[in-house]
Amino acid sequence: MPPDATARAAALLRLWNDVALQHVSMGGACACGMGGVTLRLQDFERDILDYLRDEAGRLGEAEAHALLQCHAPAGQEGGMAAVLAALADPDSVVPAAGAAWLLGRLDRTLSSFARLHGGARSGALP
Amino acid sequence: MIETDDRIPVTVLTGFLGSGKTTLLNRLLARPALRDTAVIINEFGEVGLDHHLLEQSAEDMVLLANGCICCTIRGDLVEAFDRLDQRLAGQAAPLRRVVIETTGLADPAPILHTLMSEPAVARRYRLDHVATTVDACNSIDTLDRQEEAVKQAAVADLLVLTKTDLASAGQSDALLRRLREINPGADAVRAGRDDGDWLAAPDGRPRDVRRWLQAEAHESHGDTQGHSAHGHGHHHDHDRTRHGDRIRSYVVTRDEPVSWAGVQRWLAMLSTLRGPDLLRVKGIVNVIEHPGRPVVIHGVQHVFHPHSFLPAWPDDDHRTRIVFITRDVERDLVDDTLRIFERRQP
Repeated sequence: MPPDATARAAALLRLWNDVALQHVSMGGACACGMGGVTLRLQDFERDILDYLRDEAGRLGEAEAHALLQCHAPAGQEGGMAAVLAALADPDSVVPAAGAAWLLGRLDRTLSSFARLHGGARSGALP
Repeated sequence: MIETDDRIPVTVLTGFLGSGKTTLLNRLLARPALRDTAVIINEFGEVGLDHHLLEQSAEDMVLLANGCICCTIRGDLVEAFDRLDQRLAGQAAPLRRVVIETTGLADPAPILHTLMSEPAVARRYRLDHVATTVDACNSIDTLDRQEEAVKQAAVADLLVLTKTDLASAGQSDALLRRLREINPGADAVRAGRDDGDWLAAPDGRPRDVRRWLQAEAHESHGDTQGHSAHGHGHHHDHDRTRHGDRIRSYVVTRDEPVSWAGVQRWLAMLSTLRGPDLLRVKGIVNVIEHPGRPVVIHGVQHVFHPHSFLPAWPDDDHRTRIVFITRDVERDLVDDTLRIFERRQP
């Protein structure tokens, strides 16, 4: 794995660890019946991994698909941290092309979720 | 193709303080076509004032006091509809329309929430549209200074320009351009000139989904916004900074059918994470699970109206089109996250 790719993966792993377990709670005092709902980004971990696996299969990205199957097998919970850790490991044998494809998708996806999540957490808006 | 609905249509009339809501409503209620209209007034403060100014239909008027804070309005509004039902129970004349006039300081969202999600109300009444009065003389300044005024414009289906006789053509044109930046999908009419045509349909006309969605307006406007959002459109960026607008409107489209289960999960995620910033979401969705039966979605902030299925597509355009009017939620976030869920297995 090229150093810049492992550094990128390490940054994404930090991002995931930072936001995945933080709860977002909406409208506890709201009388509209929606109060008390909380969620974490980790609640969508399986959705994200299913999407990546599906995309990799659909687009013929066999290396990325194999990596996902290895660290986040279909039908099982979790796996995001393991996928990112494998990509961040300078000694891992992940083929560069597959890693680059997967990192591109993960970067965009996790950044979008984190920005949505961050807006909710900032508390700047009423 | 039209969607039919036998419930009584409700117009929410909003607009900033002094923008001419009561004057407009007075004039409209004098029209014979609106004689079977009931009015609910949501006022700010202990003492109601605006109802003294309304001269017409006093027997069909209900006043809500102290209803300005989010969600405290809910109980009052439900009660007001209940009183209205009781009052009308013994009357021969049918009720054809309800107008809710909001306080000028109000965020209209709680009223829309009640209409959309409160079973006791939604059984008999349906939100028909939101009309926002905009003072042609002063509203540019108001929109610069008051975020509530921007929100009122953002949630509108119809923008009614008032006091245009007192404004120069340049003022009116500048205001229209500004309003189109905030909400390109809303129709704009001038009070007086186009009075009542938009409200006078006495039988609660069936809703034309295409007209309601106005996706094309958001699509064409979104091109400009999207360009500037990526830092290439200096002029537009400059305008946004000067006005301090945080409101964006855009439409998210999909050419292929999407998973309805996935879209529902996506909307739940969006509304939980960013509910306060989703000023209006409305769309028509081509779903894998129900071929040929598009789903209509409609949300205001964190509350989504129960979805409905159309019996068929309104025209040859079978794309999924979802219009968003948001505060500080960029299009790419919405688009990227939909991509995660749109192929989800039921």
